[in-house]
Amino acid sequence: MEQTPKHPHAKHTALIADDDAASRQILLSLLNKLGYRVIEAENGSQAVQLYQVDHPDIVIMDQKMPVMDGIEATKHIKSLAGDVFVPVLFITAASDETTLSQCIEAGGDDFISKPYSHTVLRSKVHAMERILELHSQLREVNNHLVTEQEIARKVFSQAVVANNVALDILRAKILSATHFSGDVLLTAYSPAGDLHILLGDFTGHGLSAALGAMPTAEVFRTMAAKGFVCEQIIEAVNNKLCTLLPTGMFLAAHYLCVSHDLGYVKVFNCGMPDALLIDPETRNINQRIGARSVPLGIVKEQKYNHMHERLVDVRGCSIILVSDGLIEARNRGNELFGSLRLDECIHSDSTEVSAFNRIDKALIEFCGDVTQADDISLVEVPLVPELSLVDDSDVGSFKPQTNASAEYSNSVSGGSCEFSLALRGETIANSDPVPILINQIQELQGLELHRAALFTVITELYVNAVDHGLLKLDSSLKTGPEGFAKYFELRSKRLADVCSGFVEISIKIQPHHHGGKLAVKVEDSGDGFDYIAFKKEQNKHDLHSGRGIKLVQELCEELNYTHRGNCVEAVYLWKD
Amino acid sequence: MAITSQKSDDGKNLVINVHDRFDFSKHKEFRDAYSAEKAAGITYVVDLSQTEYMDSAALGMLLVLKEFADEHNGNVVLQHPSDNIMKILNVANFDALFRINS
Repeated sequence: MEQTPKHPHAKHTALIADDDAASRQILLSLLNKLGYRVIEAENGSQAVQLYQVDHPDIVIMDQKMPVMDGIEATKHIKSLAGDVFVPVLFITAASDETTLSQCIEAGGDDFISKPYSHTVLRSKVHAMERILELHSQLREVNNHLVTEQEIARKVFSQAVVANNVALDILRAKILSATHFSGDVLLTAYSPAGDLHILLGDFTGHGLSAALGAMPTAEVFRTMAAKGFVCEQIIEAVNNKLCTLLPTGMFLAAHYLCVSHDLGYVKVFNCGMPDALLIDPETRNINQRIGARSVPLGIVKEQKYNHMHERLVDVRGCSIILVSDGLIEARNRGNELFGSLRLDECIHSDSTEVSAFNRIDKALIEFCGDVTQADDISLVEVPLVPELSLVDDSDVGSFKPQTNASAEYSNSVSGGSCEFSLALRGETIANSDPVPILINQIQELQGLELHRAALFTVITELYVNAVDHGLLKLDSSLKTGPEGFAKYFELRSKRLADVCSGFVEISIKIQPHHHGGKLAVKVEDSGDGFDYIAFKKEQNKHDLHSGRGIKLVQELCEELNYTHRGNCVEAVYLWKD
Repeated sequence: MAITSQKSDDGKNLVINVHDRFDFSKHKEFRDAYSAEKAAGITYVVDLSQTEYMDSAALGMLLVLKEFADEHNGNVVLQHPSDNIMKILNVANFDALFRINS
């Protein structure tokens, strides 16, 4: 082994492996001229050693050498190089195709036959340099991409995954095919303690698939926290995705709403594999809930009423949800995992107690080290008391997680039910209790046809309590367009300053045989007013004020003020 | 946008669409939708087909719009209210005050 003096302006190092000193000398002077510092090896084994020490940028390799031939040496060098690209240029006297193809098979990037012209060799080295340059650019771009994906993944997991609830009870596994999963699991409690679960599978996988998960999570969480019912949340997610996603991209989803007392579970299946209701004891599949509607993000303004399966009397059962990535997982022999195998796992008498573990184990065994083409999700929802936010002894009372100063309670007895919502201090400025109440009424009693009227009644009474009771605004301000504007300006100013006081809204529902009675009571901490005088004066009021109360009187059977005028009760009757 | 407005090509109609909830929170938005349109003889069409709820503040806002229209020799038409919204309008006797096209 000889070490040649460094070329004064060498930027790159070339390794020459040739057992013939004369040949090496010719190559050396040629490569020096091209600007290379050159190191020399007399055989393959030396070449491998030198490679490890000097990390040359290019290797010129004689094919036939003693100790270790060029083909063997190339295999070693390429495997040592790993991800780094080291071009190997073979110089060979052989002209048979087998040897030439062996050179390339071993990892050689090109070959040149002896005797070679200097011009051709120079050109080949230049070509290698170009590939080397492209390779390093590619590496740079790729590193950049990986860094960006890593950052995006962190943001994604904060925005989408971090706020999930009940994860200690649910059993869930989401395997992503790339950095990002196009499968997404979202869970949230409603103010009433119902658990909403969404397992979705976006078209494709990777970052583009994951992008849709953020707005989905946003809509899902915000609406669930405000107490919207699941149909409305699904509709909102669907509309949002219709607006945002390009045609051809959509979200297949399972949506479960588990009532706080486990009394019922609503299951929506929008283009996913069957949801399975199983009995953990008998290991039977009691029910399959197939897709009832197309995936979300395709049909705008789609209504999801009656699109669900309502499961009752399912305490102690489990619901298994999977994405199609699981059904279509492949093993070494390119066989599908398939839904039959899934069923078998559930029935299996293995010692694993949970179906989730049985499926998971079988899946791992089945797939082995085969890289999967799609994201795989597996979720088991055990319908056990621990799932609900409140334990059985305390059904219905809760504190909303988002706002500590709002209180909510409800109770149900003999067909009638009662609940109330109290807002204090700045909560009044920051929240709108009307949708929450309306949705709660709807959950309990339906009354779809009366929604608009009830909205008006509750809004009027609540706004009066806030405006006149708490903010002490005078209705007579609302005269003419300017007065109206002034009134609202003053309202928002005073609302921002509210730091004490309360408004409590109580709802009592009493269904009868062919209808029922709903009482809304609103009490505030304000000074009240002289309602006896108000009643006498009512007809004299001008058009811009006092209309709200009139409206409530028209819509309701009764409207009564009590205490010092800071408490009002309206009774609304309905017929089925 | 909860409230959108569009002028007809001949400039004679201004259609104001109110989506979802028409209540006290929409006061400014609603006013902004028409206050710049002061040409004489405009018909202000309030499209209520997308309106789900309405409260007394919304009724007040409609009256303010009517006053505004009267000042500029214009008209107000309420258009396509749902059954629920129509009920509120009837209860308030607004059918006597406004032209309502169902």
